[in-house]
Amino acid sequence: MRLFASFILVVSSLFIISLGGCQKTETISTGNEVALSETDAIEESSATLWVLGMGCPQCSNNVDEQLLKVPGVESAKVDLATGKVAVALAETNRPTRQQLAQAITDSGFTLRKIEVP
Amino acid sequence: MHQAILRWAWIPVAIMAMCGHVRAQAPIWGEAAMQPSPNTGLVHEMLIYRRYDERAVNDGGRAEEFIALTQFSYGVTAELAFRFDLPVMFRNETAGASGGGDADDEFGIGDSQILAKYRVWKNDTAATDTQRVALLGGLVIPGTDEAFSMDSSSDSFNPLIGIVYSQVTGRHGFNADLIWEFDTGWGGGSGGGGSGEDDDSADTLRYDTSYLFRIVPEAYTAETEGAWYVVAELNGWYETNGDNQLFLSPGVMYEAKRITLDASIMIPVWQDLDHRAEMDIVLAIGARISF
Repeated sequence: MRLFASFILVVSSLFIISLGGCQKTETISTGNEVALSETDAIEESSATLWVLGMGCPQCSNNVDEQLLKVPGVESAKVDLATGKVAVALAETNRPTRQQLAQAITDSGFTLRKIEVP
Repeated sequence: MHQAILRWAWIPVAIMAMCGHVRAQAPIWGEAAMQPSPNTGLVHEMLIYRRYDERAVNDGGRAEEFIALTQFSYGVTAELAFRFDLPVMFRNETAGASGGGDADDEFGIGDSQILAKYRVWKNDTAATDTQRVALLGGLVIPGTDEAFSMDSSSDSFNPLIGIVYSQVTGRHGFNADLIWEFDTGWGGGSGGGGSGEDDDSADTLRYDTSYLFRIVPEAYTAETEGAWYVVAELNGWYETNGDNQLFLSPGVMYEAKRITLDASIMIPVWQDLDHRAEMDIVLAIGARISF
């Protein structure tokens, strides 16, 4: 019983700690990069996404899969060494920055910034 | 008696296998706070061989088990994923001297499991570095064959809760989990105690820690398609009836973008069991395919 109580205590503590972590918001750089709130379609034919947390080849596959689900994304190439994701966009029906950002969120990683040429 | 012991003897390792992993830098036996992304899935097929300590099996007899464990994981949201585990078992048992060397084979489906994994925190600090915490909740479902029941103490529907922490820092990966399984007695089985063979009714705490080291490549490049890891795990098992098991589990793993191959051996380093037979050794190979 004591062991169980200890276990519950540990789980509860970690959960509370983690809730604190959930409140942290992602910091998105601006300047030459773009704000993720932009909902206009990207005008350029490519974009570069800088992603954090991809520690393995399967992680890059996660990112690939989610990006390729976005309408207007033709290809995505992940550089695990730098976290750089080069995205080629279709001639028409290009995605918004918000859509690309959502794909990274869905893949389980953190988007640091999006750059366009 | 030996049947009763064997009935539970393989439980710890089997459930460790059931609670496998779904994503990279994840251990072979323990949990990881990694999961498939939304609308993607992963199938993990493991072939497991287990042999019991001869001293615990029917007067020096032999007991071996072969398990084909299928784990199907599916991502629902970025934070939530579900997994269903289905073990198919074959057991061969040969009695010792007093049993006249009689052989007995059994084939069946062990307890399955539904597991939900909800990531509550992540902190991605660099291109390849991350820390994550996920909560676990699930249900162990009794198998069709009582002899292959996988829950720790009874043939019942047992809920479980847990927490898992994962960290990847460059070439190093670390995971730790705690999982508590409640013995409810729901659905039949021994229930909450009793006498004789039913005394093994108990809640169960599983605890695992693992360290993974990426041996190749030393550094990722833009062309990296796969990676080799060595894995060292400690897989522990405690039941409120007093039983304890601890395994050291070295292994090796190759991970590509869509497929992962792994092999591991579980070596018991501490076993204090009154309700189950001691384990001698466990070998496993596995493949994970994402889709």
